[in-house]
Amino acid sequence: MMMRQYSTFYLGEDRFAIDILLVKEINRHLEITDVAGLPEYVRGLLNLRGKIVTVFDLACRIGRERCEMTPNTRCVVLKTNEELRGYQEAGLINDSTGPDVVGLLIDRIGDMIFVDDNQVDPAPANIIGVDDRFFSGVVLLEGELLVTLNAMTILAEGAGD
Amino acid sequence: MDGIDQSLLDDLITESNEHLENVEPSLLLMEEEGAVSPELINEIFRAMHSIKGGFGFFGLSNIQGLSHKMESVLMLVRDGELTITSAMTDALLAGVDKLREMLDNVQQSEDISIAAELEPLLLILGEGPEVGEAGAEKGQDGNVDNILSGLDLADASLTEMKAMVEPGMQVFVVEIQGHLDLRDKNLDDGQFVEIIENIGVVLSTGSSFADCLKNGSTGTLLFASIIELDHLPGFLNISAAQIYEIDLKDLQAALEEKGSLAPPPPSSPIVSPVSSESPKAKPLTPPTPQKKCPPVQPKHEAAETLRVRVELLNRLMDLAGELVLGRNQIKQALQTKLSVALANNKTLTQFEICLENSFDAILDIVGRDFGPINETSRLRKGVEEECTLLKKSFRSALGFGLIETPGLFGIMQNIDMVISDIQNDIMNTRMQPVGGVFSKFTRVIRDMSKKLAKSFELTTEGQEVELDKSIIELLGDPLTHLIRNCADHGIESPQVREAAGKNSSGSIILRAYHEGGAVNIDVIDDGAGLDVETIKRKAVEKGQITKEALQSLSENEVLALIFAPGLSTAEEVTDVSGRGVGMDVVKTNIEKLGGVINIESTLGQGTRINLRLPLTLAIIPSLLVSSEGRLLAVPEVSIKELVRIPAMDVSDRIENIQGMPILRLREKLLPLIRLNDVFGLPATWVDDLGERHQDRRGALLDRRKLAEEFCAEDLLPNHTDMIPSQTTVSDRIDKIVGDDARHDNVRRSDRHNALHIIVLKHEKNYYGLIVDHMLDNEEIVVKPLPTYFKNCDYYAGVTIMGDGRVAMILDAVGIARSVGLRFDAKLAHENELLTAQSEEYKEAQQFILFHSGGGEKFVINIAMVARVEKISQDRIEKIGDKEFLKYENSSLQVIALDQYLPVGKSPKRPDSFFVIVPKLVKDPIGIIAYHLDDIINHRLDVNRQNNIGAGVLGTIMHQDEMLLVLDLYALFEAVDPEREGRLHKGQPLTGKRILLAEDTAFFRAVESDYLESIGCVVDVCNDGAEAWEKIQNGRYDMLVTDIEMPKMDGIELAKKVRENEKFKEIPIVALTSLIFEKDRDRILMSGVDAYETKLDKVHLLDTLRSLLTDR
Repeated sequence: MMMRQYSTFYLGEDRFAIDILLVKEINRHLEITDVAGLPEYVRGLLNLRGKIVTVFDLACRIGRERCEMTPNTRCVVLKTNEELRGYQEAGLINDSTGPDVVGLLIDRIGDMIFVDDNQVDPAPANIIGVDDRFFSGVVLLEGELLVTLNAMTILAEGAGD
Repeated sequence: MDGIDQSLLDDLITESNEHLENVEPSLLLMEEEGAVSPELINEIFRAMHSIKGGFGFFGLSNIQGLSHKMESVLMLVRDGELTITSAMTDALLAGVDKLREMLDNVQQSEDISIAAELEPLLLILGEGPEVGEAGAEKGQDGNVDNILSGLDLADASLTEMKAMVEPGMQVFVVEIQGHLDLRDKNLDDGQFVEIIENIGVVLSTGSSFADCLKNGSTGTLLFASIIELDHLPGFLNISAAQIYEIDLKDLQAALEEKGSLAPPPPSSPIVSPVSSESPKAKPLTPPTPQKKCPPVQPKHEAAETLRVRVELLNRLMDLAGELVLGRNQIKQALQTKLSVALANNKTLTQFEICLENSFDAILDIVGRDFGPINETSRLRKGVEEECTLLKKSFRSALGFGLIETPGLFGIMQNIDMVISDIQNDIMNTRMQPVGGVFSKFTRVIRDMSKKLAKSFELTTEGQEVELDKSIIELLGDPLTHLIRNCADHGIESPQVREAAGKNSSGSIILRAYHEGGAVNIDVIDDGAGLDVETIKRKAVEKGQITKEALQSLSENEVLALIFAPGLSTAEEVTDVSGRGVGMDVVKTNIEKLGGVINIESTLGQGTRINLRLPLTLAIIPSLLVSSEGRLLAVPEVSIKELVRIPAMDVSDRIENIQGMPILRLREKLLPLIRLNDVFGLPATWVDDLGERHQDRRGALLDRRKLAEEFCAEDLLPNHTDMIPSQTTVSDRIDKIVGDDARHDNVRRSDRHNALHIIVLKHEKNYYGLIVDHMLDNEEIVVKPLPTYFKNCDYYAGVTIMGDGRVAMILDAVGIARSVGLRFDAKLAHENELLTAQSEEYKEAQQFILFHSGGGEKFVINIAMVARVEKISQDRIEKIGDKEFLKYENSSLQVIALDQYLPVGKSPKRPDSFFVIVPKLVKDPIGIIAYHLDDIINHRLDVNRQNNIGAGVLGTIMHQDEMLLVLDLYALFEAVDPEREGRLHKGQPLTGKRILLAEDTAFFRAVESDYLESIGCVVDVCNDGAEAWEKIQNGRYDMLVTDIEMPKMDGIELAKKVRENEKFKEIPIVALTSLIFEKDRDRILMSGVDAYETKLDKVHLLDTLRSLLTDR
């Protein structure tokens, strides 16, 4: 069994978790350029030290209302497939992202947690009223139900349309 | 010959290794698929061709030989004469491996045996049997090539040898076993040579021959004889297995492969018994003194350069940009800090002063003079100490906030400079002078000259022109091909050249230069040029084009055929060029670089090949625009021109054809696209308060039609917008009179806003893209679009601006496609119709429309307005009954029109009003206007019947209103009756007959007025043709003509007049609205005596006077 570290964050009052190996950095400087022609769930582009980051409105992506920008809003920047390859080859993760740098907008950042793989159950259909394909599983943690994200489906283009 | 240019060789090795890296997977793919795609085979073929050609130059015959055979095999595959078998792939792959091995150690490559790899290739090529036979007979691993390698053959000896081979003779090689064939038979080498001399001639002896007797080794000898192979063993008493017949062609090939590269003979060279009795007396073949290969040295370490991935450089560039951004932010933060510190310091100083004052006050109270020790003095001392302490602690508490933070700004300045340097240097890592590539060709040409026995003069120009490194690197290959082509096919042999009356030495010019934002490289030769007919013939032979299709091609298109794979104009295939791959490679490579290749050629005079390359692959010049608050970049390469349509012209110039807004731009109809429509967003406009509203019209429509709609629907929230308010007009006029348009931040995108249109190329057509603002030109770094933009055709990429903002790069073709723009026949037809009307349109006049409350409305031609100023009454100073507008160093007389014209009296002046300052007049006088109403276009006649009075030229009707057209000259004369006399001291030209040709009604009126004002009799006509008619039937003292006119323009008219004996003496004055440099020559060439700007009365009349009185 494998112990994984997850980064947790909130969308509204619900807490979500993402495998920390997928995360490149969490950014608070959010000058997002709105670009016409993008899918609804893409908020725009961000200049991350010279790299273009496509910023997803995660809430919108998983079928909720678009998130509102507050001082607590953060952008969870994910690694590209290129950067993940090492982990994938070593069998450390079985999720993937894509060729582009993508950031997920979240309402507020939460704690870092350690979860053993056997604590993660497959996601039951239609939990908390959202499409389950975006989730890889659920963790019951001290009475709180935590959803772990599936980066691959979230980042897959067209999947939400 | 000097040593090999090492850097050249290094580059070649690197390139070749890259080629091989690509070849291997391609070969495997080819085998796997079993079928041959032309691109794939061409790619492999080209790779081998490059390797062969390259190493051929260096005389590295093993590499060249092996790649040559591989290329030959591939050629058969390409031409469909062979099918791919796994044996073939094996052979080719083995060849690739061997080439790699040799490339790893080029210096020793000549010592590496390639026999094992050559054999299967030769078998495939069907050259096998001959070799196989010999190989089988002799039962050893040698073959002709190998045997020949035992000979010290040099290029120079070939001709001599050829001369020795008489008709009927065959060339043979004999291998002699030193002990077996000579010692055991009691022969020495000299005697053996004599035996051969009996039956033929010895052509060459290998160095091994001299030593074979002594060492018992194998020696080689090359001879020619009329005896047939079968009989030779008998004559020579040598086993048949040791004698090979060789073809002279093979010999030539072997010689070329061998070059003069064989390792130096271990002992003194071998003799030719033909010319000497003493075998050792004189070498027939010179002992290869020209070593192309430098002495074997320890494995060569690539110099002081390091190959860095371009990706890494790009990343560094990005980071440097970010660093600059960060630095700017820190600087700004420090600046804020500094101002805070300065403020703090001030407070502190103040505090200290207060403290001092308080202290002084205390002293005043307690008295200053005390004895040394008493209660008060102790108290005073205590207060004094407390104060000092307070000051100190304040100072230290504010410490960091104060400027005195040691060296902080110095450090910042330092970092600032370092960061700038870093950014510059990183940028520069990508840019390299093209001279690095050029310098190689001197050597190439020299070698070619020796090889081809031609003489060349290579001139290189523009070595300092810089290009992106990635471009420079990829440029080497194609340029080498082009230069080789010039030398091999382009330049004729000296004999042919002399016969053609050319310099026997051919000239090749390699020139780099900047032009229009791109780098151009020309390769020019003065050789034979390309023969269009030969190209046609070859193209048909090769099946690249049918004879029928050829008919429709222009000469240039035929020339372009040489870029097709497999077509070579060379009659013979050499190892340098001629297989028809060269130009194909060149074109592919240049296009890969985003460049364009053009070819021009004149048969017998030479060829010019022009390469047009972008400066860098990643940075493109672009225009930044904004639309709906979004920042966008438009690559300049797709921009034809920028058009600004003033708000009041929008209705006149934009109309709706088939639901598409169309702009009348000169004689063309230009379809317009609004960016919002591209993005699928509703159109919006911004009101005077800067608030954005949705535009309910959705598209740009015809204004008249709109007006009707608006009348019908007067509840529309923005209908008041139809009536131009004072502010909007004045701000328009601000723009017109040349104020910086950018200062005006609030732009409205409704129909009352000026339109900013970018005219973009779309294949062969153009269309206009409407944007809100045009900002700066900037060089941008193109970054690829994230995959989420899959459905966004209209973006070409993303870029990050200097200030860190992200901007999308627009794609001209994608935009047109995404809105389904069509350039159909109907539009083309409309365009034709418009061309006819455009002439008149072109000279439509613009007038400023204003009034001063007196009831009448006035117009002044904008061409005569220098500027419009908004002023307040306190800037007006009265001197006598005259009013002057004060400036810092000067003043301008201003007038109110109601003082001089018979018009209604103006009410009391408002607090602020406008002064229209005219131009094209000496001593201008400002005209006071209370309200600027509009700027109108007018192209109808000026009615001069309503004679209102001096200063009014006439009236025009505009939207059912009668407007008074001011005649500034007459007006100013009315203001100051003596001024005309002051300005024009000349006599009146009473009775002079002047023919005036002018198509524009307004100018016709003004100009004839000017002319009549000095007493001339003016005869007017509407165009050149009419004028030509009149001039033939009348008598005129002078012709005054407009340039742009329908039917016959002024230039043509002037030419006609000058050419005619009868009228050629008539003075001609041309009038133009604007003079451009390019027109000037055209005008003067036509034979006119002078040209003047329209409306510039003073100069026009001066010119007239001098022309009329001189004659």
